[in-house]
Amino acid sequence: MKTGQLKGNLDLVLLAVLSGGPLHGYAVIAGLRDRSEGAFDLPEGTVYPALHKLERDGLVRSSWDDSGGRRRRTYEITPRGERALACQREQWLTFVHGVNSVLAAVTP
Amino acid sequence: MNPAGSHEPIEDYLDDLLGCLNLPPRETRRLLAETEAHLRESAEALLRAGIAPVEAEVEAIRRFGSAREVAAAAGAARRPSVVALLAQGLWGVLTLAGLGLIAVGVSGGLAALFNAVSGPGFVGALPQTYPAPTCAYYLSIQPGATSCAQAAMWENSHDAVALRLLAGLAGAALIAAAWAWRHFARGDLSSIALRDGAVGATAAIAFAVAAALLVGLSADLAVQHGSGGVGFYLTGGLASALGAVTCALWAHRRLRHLRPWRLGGTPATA
Repeated sequence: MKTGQLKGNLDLVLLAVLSGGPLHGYAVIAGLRDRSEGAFDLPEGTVYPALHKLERDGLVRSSWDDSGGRRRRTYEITPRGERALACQREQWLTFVHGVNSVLAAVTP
Repeated sequence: MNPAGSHEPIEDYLDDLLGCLNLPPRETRRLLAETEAHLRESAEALLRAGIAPVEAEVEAIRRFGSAREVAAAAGAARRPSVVALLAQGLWGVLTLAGLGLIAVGVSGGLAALFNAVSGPGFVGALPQTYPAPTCAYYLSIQPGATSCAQAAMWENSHDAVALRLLAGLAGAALIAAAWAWRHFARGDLSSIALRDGAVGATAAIAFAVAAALLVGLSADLAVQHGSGGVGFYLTGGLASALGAVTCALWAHRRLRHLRPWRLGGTPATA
């Protein structure tokens, strides 16, 4: 998948990864890579600004975690983030359904 | 290479990233801390997979993205959306219009004060002639008046109070609307301070120009025609001057937050 295509939907996939429970940044990126089966190939460092933006928008919250000998920031989806995820997921599924319907008529 | 001559890719990368970032101090420190934790964890995983230490750090950095790329993403993520800009713009318009109308209301209060202290002539006796239909109208609504000039003076002095106070009430309603709207016009401390400072400075300049024009007009009137009607413009000039000083002080207080050591990502409302 092209990076530009993912960037437009990065909020949605990050919220989806965090809906499984609190994670620190490295685990969020690993979760994104694993759940996409390697399809999302974007620079890992660009995920942190996206997480910070989600936090500013009140969709996730975060706190420092010093356990395990390394200081890491742990992110957690908020109730507002859950609602945004449900809404964006619905919109995405509608979009995908529309595109699939159009593509179904195309002969490979 | 660090000063000691040993190659430390992650340390070099963090230096590069610090040089590229253009964020408030707290966000810069946070992104650097998260970046270092991420890179070290990533490099350790690669090390466990059998890659040599320095190569593991280089590969972790490659996967993370260049410092320029990450800094660009961080800058883009802080850019307000069009919706947020429109919300801030609407807050600014409501506040500016509200402040202007409140100043008109204050001038109405001053007109009432002048009417009480010096009679209706100081505000209402504008040196102008009126066509016959206007005179007839004034005399019909001021039946106690003995001349067109007296009827017009009473009407002008009355309108200068009633209509301006009405405008003041409308201004108060707009400020209340701006206060209610502030929840939709949220932002971090620096952007809110910049917005408030810009609105305050704009209002201060507009009030200062209005004050200069109105005081100049009343001075010209006083020189050419005496005191009659001078208060009509002078009340507006005094209210505008008061507005200019108040808004300039407000802008100054808010813009002080833009000093670099006060910048931060703390959410704030209007």
